[in-house]
Amino acid sequence: MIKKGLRLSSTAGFGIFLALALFALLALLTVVLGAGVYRSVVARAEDSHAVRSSLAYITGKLRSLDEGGEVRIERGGGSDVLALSEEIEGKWYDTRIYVYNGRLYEVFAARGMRFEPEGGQAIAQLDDLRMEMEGGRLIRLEAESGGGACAVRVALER
Amino acid sequence: MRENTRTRAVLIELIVVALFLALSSATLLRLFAAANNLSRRSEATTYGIFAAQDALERMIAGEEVAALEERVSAGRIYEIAAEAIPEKYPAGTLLRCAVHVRCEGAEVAALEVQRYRPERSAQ
Repeated sequence: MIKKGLRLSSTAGFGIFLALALFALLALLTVVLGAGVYRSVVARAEDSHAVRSSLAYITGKLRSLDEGGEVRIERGGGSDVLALSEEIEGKWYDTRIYVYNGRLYEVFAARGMRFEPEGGQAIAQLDDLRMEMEGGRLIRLEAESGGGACAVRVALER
Repeated sequence: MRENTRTRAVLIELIVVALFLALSSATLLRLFAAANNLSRRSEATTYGIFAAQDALERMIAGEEVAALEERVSAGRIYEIAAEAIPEKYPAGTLLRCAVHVRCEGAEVAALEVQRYRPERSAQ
């Protein structure tokens, strides 16, 4: 009777161990998978937000430029710099938009002032921004953040 | 006998708990898959809107845009269908532009714009 009770107990112990192991394994799998999915969803959302807001910001700046304004693409601080010039009360001012240290920056200064990339105002997180004039009426903007990149052309109204 | 019954009860309880966890896990896995799909769709919509905007800007700038273009981004193929219908008026031309972007069989973005060009700049 005692022997039978002991045998049953060890089988039950193994069963309990198996059930607990399955329990722990499934719980771990769920947590690991959940964390992976959460990370990828957040990263995708952040990259998408960075690219979308940066391109929308630059597009807005290009659209709001006055009719007499000028658009140029320069090189500075190791990346392309979009320079928007406008005349205010007889004096010319430049708004420069560029990427520096993983961020989109903007600096507004009177024409002729030395351009220092670190002196700008950070707008958004962005890894890279490439710009190119296409035929004088279009400007091509390509923004990159994380693994994602998006390109859009903007028609210049002049 | 009493020991046997108690062990069996514990085992049954554990099996029920494991089953419940398995069901919860299956539900959570479906939830994760849905979240991932939603995120991918959102990414496709973002790209689609930019692709549509790009085509419209080119039309507005007077460039020739193909009726159907294909682009690849993040391993997905986007089909961009663009249509521009000019309507002549005595004082100028009204250009109706529409762009539809499809990805993996579903429309992810659609944009329309109308632009009036007075006669002097309608060319």
